[in-house]
Amino acid sequence: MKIQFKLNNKTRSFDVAPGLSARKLLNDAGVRSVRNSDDGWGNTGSDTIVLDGYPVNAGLLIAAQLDGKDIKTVESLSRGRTLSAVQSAMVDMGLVQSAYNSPAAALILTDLLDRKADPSKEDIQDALSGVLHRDSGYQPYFKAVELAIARRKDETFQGDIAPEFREDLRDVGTARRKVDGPMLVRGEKAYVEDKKAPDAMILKMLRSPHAHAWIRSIDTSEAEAMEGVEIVLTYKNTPEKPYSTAGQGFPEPSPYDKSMFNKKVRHVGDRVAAVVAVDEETALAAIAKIKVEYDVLKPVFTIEDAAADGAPLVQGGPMEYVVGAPDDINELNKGTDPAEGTVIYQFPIGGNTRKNIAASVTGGIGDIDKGLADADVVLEREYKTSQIQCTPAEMHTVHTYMEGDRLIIDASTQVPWHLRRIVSTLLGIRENKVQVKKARVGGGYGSKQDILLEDVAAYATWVTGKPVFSQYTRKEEFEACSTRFPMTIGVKLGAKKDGTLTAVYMNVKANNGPFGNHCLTVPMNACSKSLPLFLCDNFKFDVTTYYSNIPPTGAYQGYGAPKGSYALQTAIAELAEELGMDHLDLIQKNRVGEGVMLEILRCLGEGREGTPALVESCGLEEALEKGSEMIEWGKKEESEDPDWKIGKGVAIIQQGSGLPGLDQSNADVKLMADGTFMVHSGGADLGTGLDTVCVKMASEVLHVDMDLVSILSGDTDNTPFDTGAYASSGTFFSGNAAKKAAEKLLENILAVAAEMLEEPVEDLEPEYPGFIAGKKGKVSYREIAHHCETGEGDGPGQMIGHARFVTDDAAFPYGAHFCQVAVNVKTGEVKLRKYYALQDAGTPINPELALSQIYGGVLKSIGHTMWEEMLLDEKGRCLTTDFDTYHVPMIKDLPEDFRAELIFTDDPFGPFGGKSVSEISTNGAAPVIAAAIHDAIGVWMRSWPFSREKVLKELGRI
Amino acid sequence: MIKDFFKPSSIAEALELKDKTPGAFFLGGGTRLNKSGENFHAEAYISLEQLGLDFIALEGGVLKIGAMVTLQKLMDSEDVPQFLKDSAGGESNRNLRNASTLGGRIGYCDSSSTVVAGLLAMEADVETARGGKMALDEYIGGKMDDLVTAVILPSSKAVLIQKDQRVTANSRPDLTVAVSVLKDGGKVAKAVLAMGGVSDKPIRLKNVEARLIDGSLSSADAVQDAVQDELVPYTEKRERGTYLNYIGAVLAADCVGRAMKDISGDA
Ligand SMILES: Cc1cc2nc3c(=O)[nH]c(=O)nc-3n(C[C@H](O)[C@H](O)[C@H](O)COP(=O)(O)OP(=O)(O)OC[C@H]3O[C@@H](n4cnc5c(N)ncnc54)[C@H](O)[C@@H]3O)c2cc1C
Ligand code: FES
Repeated sequence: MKIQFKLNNKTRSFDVAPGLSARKLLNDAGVRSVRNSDDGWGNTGSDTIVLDGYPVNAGLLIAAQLDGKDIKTVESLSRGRTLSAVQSAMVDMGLVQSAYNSPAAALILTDLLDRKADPSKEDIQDALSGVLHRDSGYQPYFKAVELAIARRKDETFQGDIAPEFREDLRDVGTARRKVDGPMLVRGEKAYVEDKKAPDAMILKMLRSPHAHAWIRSIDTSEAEAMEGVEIVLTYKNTPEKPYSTAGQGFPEPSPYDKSMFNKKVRHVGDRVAAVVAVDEETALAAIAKIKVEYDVLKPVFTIEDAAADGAPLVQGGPMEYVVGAPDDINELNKGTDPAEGTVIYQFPIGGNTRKNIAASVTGGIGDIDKGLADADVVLEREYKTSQIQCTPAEMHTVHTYMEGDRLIIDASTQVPWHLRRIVSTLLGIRENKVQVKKARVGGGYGSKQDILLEDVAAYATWVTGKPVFSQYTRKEEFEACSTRFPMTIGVKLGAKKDGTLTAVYMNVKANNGPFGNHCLTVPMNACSKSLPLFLCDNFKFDVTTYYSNIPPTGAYQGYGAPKGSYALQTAIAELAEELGMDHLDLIQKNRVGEGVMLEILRCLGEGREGTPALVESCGLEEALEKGSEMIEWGKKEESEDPDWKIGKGVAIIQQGSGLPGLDQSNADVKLMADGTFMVHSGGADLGTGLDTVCVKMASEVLHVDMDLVSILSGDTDNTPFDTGAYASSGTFFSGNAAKKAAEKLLENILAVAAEMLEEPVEDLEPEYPGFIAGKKGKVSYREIAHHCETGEGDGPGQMIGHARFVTDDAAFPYGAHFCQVAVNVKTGEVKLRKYYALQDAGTPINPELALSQIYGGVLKSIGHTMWEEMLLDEKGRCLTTDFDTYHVPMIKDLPEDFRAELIFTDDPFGPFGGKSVSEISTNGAAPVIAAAIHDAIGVWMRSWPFSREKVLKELGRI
Repeated sequence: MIKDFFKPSSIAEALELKDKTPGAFFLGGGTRLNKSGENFHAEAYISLEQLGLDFIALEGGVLKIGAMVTLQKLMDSEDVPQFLKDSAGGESNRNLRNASTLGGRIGYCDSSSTVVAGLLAMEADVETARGGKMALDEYIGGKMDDLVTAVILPSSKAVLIQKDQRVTANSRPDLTVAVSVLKDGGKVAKAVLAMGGVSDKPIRLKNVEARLIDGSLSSADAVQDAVQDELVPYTEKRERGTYLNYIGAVLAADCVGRAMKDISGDA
């Protein structure tokens, strides 16, 4: 049918199938900003358009409904490259991070301000109620609206955006506009999907309906014969080469236990076949034609099932070790079935696939038995956490194509270099033939640290020569992605009557799912980011990770730390009750502080010997002091309604800043002909502002405006190596590399300037806004560049500084979270009245983004604690594969009074004193809410999520 | 797969199209019909947009709301009582409220629809294209194949209270309870207790209603017990039935208690 509508004030006509999705129509019409986060379920708002004056979801409309309408998209907001007041306020408040849904939010807030000149907090929440936003926890929107209102009246209004740190520095420590913010909030082409070639083939996956089964037969002939089908891939025509999806430093502490396609499927949603076809319809139709017969095996889903004697083996193939095979390897491999595929360990991590154990490790310091014997009180508890999905707004996406004899991968990834290594190894081609170009990433949170669809798309392109595009559905995000491991954590504490800890023991059991990606590191982090918060002579931990047939697990912001923190911090709270002590007093008595040598780290390495570290900077003291004042610790609050009980809680948290001794980052900074600069950083900015950090490093070192520094990052051809964005490494590692590279460049520049000025180098200094000044004269960067590149035809060449950053020094971020809850004893409802997150990020390089990251991390973990949970049926099928059933926090779920505060510390190792900020933010919510609920109603919530139903059960009401 | 899209300009034409087009659905905002995960197997849509059903009229104390009024327009109207606005606000997502229509809410009639439960408590009538005016209760108890053109709300002095239980603000409610109590000389002259989430459509608990009127439920506990008893046949068939049974009774007792308190405060 023919339809006509006004799109951003221009009349457009189309001849469409009436049932075509309005979102697809707009995308085909070139409007990229109308995006898709949930395949038309209507819960995320990525597809917001303004239809006849009302924001609605284009994914819930068909094309025919647009006929005769007036439609506005984000493209209507800004003229040319200028930002509207709403857009600039959003960028400046640190709201435009991964930004997939930022254009939608900008459109909605513009509608709000057009309707109401002075909206209330509730109005803002209601306006944005349909937009999913993970990174910044929604909270900065309230201030952004104030800012936008002021800027609508006065374009030049700057406003008070974030606290400032480090008066001695120009850009570092002060809010500055995120370098990629404007393009993202304008909805410009930025993500992998925007790079898709018009002739790209579409790759779709046939996935297993069974949790554990052999593929007895697979017949793809009908599918292959279909017009438009390019290739069908199965285990029969793809490399049988074990690998791990985990993007970790090589050699990885994760077993290689799957091939691209396997004869045995190990979870519902496991790969069975891929179809590459001219379009999605053809690919899906071809998938329907593939005939598969399965021999269904008994699955195992829980840790108990997996650990039981005689349990079905998830990985029944032989084990191999690259180094350090156990002496009884031949014995262990007796009776294994090579058809299952070999499980290759790079080095020993305590795995024994014959017992469904992917990894295990035990360690400690002192003598735990003695510590327990010395205790006046011994407390033993168990805590359980559920399986949680990362839910990035942008689903996993890849685009692969050939350029000559080279394979190019446009990727939404946290780990460009691991991606290149894994793909080239799997495909059996050399790295010089592969280029990974990280696009803007629309949210990762750990799930984009794994190679989940890039390998198959790359292989399809390599064998067919055709460009291939593939994007997960939201259902696939749940069934075939990486998720938070379900864990059961036992804690045993010993203490003297006065509260002095004498023994701390953690027994972590993790349910890894079918593959061992991150099987050691995630559960280890439950210990390594929890135990060093306390001082005790006797620590012990046991970690065991089990294979099972649940959907795959992997990395998720914080790794295992949020779970370890929940268990240990809640156990400490329970101990305080047992001892009759104030919880905060007990924490104060035993906590870590500046100047402490962390001996425990000796046994907490990631699959190797760790090194003890000195705590050089620690903001815990101030965080606890300030937080307890804010929450009025010790003051019992009473509700007027007898059904509501009020309680308060506290928890302390920590994380690392990258992996000293393992990670490495590299950067180059170049001087350009007109005296401006280009940073080439290996770092992978996930939206967190890492590019802005690197630009600030250079501008600060070189004493120029940030606008004179541009950046290219995360491109394996054009930027130097970086291990990737995980383990809170960005600011510390990639930031330090950029800083060192700028310093190196400055050193080179000074040498040339010394010649030009005929002054000794020691007398020279960089001078804002772009000079090298000596005692006698000065020369501009432009003049230096000209001299170097041209001179008299004999210039010394372009000035480039290259640096790598590796270190054994650690910079630990710390924090204290406080909250106040009200619990309804009749309905089980838990209201978060107050939540205060006080965090030490050293020098916050981008304070507005740091605050935003804290809000985001906290709200995500509130979601994990209270509402989110992947549920499986008895066959292992995930029942919660959409946002109707998987309950992520939206803006109306915010704590009523939600505050993040940055506690300044000066760390000697961080770049300009900066430490990591985002992952740590996820560690506080579970224990602090558990403690507050206990304070309110006297019950301990020992398993996630703290649902109303569970609260009522704990209260004995049902 | 939608093969045809019709935009009739009269109700008669819409009905005719419906009769002669197999697999055709009346289209309100489409937030349910077009939503992924639904199984309507619709082959054609009959848009209700040009039928003049986008109106809100208050005449002689009777409020008439056209079926094509969106939930948001309903909330923005000065003529709509606050209670119904709050029921509509039970759809927390404003983007959805901007698109979904009152007729569509009734036409879909979700098990835990706050709007349908709220309208039941208000003893709303619906005007239908073929069957004329009838009680909403009767409409949703029937085949629901007639076109709803408007919702009619008589003026009432009843005290109305609604509560629901859900996971997050945007989650579909596990359960919703709407209560209406009308006093006469300090006594309960009329009581309606509507509940969504325990059956395939929102229901009325008529035993409890009768007992509220005859005064045999004198305490909150008594109301809670009576509701629990009346819910058993529904909740025993449902997953998480114990929880639903309990929470339905708690919310009902709470709503009744508040409505009664407002009455005694009033008297
Ligand atoms: C994310 C999401 C969450 C949702 N949550 C809820 C929820 O919590 N509770 C809830 O109740 N609904 C929910 N819905 C469903 C839906 O939004 C509502 O039911 C909505 O009100 C339907 O209105 P509509 O105008 O969009 O209806 P449509 O989708 O156009 O139609 C829905 C049904 O009603 C019929 N219909 C439409 N108009 C009429 C009429 N005038 N007379 C007779 N039949 C008619 C249609 O033929 C169709 O069968 C949700 C939807 C989404 C996308
Ligand atoms: S910026 Fe909104 S989810 Fe990333």
